[in-house]
This record gives sequence, C-alpha cells and structure tokens, in this order.
Amino acid sequence: MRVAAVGLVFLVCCAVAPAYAQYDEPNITFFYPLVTRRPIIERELEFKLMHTKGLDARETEATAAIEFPILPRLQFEVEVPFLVLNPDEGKVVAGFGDIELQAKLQVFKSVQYRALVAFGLESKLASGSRARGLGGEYAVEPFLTAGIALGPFDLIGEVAYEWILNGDEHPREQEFTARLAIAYPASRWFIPLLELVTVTKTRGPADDEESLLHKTQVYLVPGFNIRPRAGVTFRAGVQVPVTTAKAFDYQFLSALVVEF
Amino acid sequence: MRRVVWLLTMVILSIALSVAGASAADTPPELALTLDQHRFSPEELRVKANAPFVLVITNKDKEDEEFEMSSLRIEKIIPGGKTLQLKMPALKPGTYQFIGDFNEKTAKGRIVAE
Repeated sequence: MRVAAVGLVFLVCCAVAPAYAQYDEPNITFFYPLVTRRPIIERELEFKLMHTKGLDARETEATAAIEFPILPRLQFEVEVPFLVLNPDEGKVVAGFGDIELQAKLQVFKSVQYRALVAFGLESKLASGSRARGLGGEYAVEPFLTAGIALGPFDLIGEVAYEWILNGDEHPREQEFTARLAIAYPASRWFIPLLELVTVTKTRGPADDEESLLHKTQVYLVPGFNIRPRAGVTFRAGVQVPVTTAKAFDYQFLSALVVEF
Repeated sequence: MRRVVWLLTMVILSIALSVAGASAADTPPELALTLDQHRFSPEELRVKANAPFVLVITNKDKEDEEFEMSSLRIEKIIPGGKTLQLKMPALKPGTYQFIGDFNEKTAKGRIVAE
C-alpha cells in the first residue's frame, strides 16, 4: 500500500516536470562593446587589432581568439596576441605576448526583461618575453558582467579585479576596473556605442613620480558596430583618457567577429 | 502509523495534483510557424498581449536558419529539418518584426500582440 502510494506520487511528479522543461528558450543578444566584456555565451572567432600610443612607446597588437561554449551557459576562450613594440628610445621588438584563458558562466537570463548576468575568470599566462617588454606576466582577473535592454538602448556593465602574480616589483600590482557601455541599435547593420572605463591601481610600487597608484584613470571609448553580413560583425573605436592619470595617450581598437 | 502514512500520501498527492492542474492551466498557447524555401508561413501571427506563448517553429529547409527578433534582442538557430518549441516572453501591444537572419530578404514576418 505504502509503496503503491509513493509510486503514484512519483508518477504524477514525473508527469508534471516535462510540462516546464520541453520548451527552448531564445538567446538574448547585445551589441559588441570594444573593451567591456559581454555577459553572452559565445561561439565565435575573433580577430583584433589594437594600436596604442603609450607614454614612452607605440604598441600594435594583433590578437586571434576562439570562444566556445562547452555547456549552454559555460564558455571558454583562448586568446593569443602578437605584439610589435616601438619604444621612443631603443629598437623595435616583436613577438608573441601573454596568452589569455577565460572561463565565463552565465548565471542569470531573463528573456522577459532582456537581461543577462555572467561571471568569469581570466588568467594571463606569462608566454611573452618579459626581458623584451612583451609581457611575461602571470595574472588572474575575476569579473562580473551584466547587460540589459532599456527601451531603445542596450547597457552592459562590468567590474573586474586583477592580481599580478609574478615579477620582481614589490608589492605586486592589483587593479580594479569598472566599465559601462551604452549602445543605440539604430539598425541591424549599424550600432553606435559609447563606453566609460575607470581603472584604479589599488596596490603596487609607488616609488615612481608617474605612478598611477591610488589614482583613478578615466577613459571614454566612442565606437560602432557594423554587421556586413549575418554572423559577421566589425567593431572599431578609440579609447581616450579624460583624466591626467593615464596609462596611454590614445588607443585605436578594432575587431572582426565571425560566428560559427 | 498506517493512518499517518496514508494521510501524508494524500497530502503529497493533492499537492502534486494541484501543481499538475496549475501547470495545465498555465500551459502557454502554441502558435505554429513554418519555414519553407526560406519563407515563413504564416507571415503574420496574432497573439494575446501581455501573455507568454510558445512559437512552434518548423524548418523544412535543409539549411539552418536563425530566427531573430531584433526589437526583443532575441535569436535562436533552427536547425534544418527540425522543429523547435520556443518559449516567448509576454509582449506589450504592438507589432514585432522577425526575420530569418541567413535569408532575411525572403524569411520575414511579424507578430501582432493585441
């Protein structure tokens, strides 16, 4: 009797569950910011080109990246940069920089409110030559990113904290970054966007007059997305400092994204 | 002891049945949408505003298609030869355009929420 009753309850519960589980959920999609991480689980190839006019060097970086979901809400990314460094004093050096690995987990999705939240961890491997100025840093950076569509605008915000784990400097650097990106999807083919970036070095050596320790650097990044065909997006923009505390004079950013 | 077990079983059963009843009552209405030769049919769907619904999309073409409603920021790949039951959000009254992203010149339509 008892077994029969429990069995009946189990059967009813089993019959109820699929009523909720049988439907597919659409994916939510947002624009591509230039520097802010997206809360979207992606499956794409990305080719980035960046040129930075630094305080004592010009740097050009070409990067290839693959982003791949291994679960519907979990994505991995591998990014391989190639750098050309042209210092104001000294000769030009070129070579591979630090490889970056990233894992991103989408923790909240609301199709009704067109909102997404994801967190992740990015780690930098010291594959570049430190002696030649091409990186050589081990670092970890947990981040939290969220996006929402508000009326005709899309907003994506991100906070991240980076720890550098190697090097002779003492204490080793730590950095807090907050980014906010806003876009107006004017059409499916063209989206203008603007990003606000703040970077604060919270820990690191302070023996240098130009040290950025405890100073908040603020940057603006106007840019755009162009979608020449389905599954392909080109984005470009320029990051400019708006505070005297700055790590560079300007930075051109561009990327071609191919979904697969 | 047997009476307690019986009572407990009945309570659990009644909860399960009420959940089942509620689930049946909450089952959103389904609307069929077919993609054939890169064209959606029907091209216009009418739904009740402010109530979620299910789009049952059948892709009769061999190629994959991406169903996209840019005003809602949603998209979903519909594999060739497959049917997906897509749970859609409640829509405010209005007209919402949708397209097949890979064949947008022909694969297009609209949902009217009223």
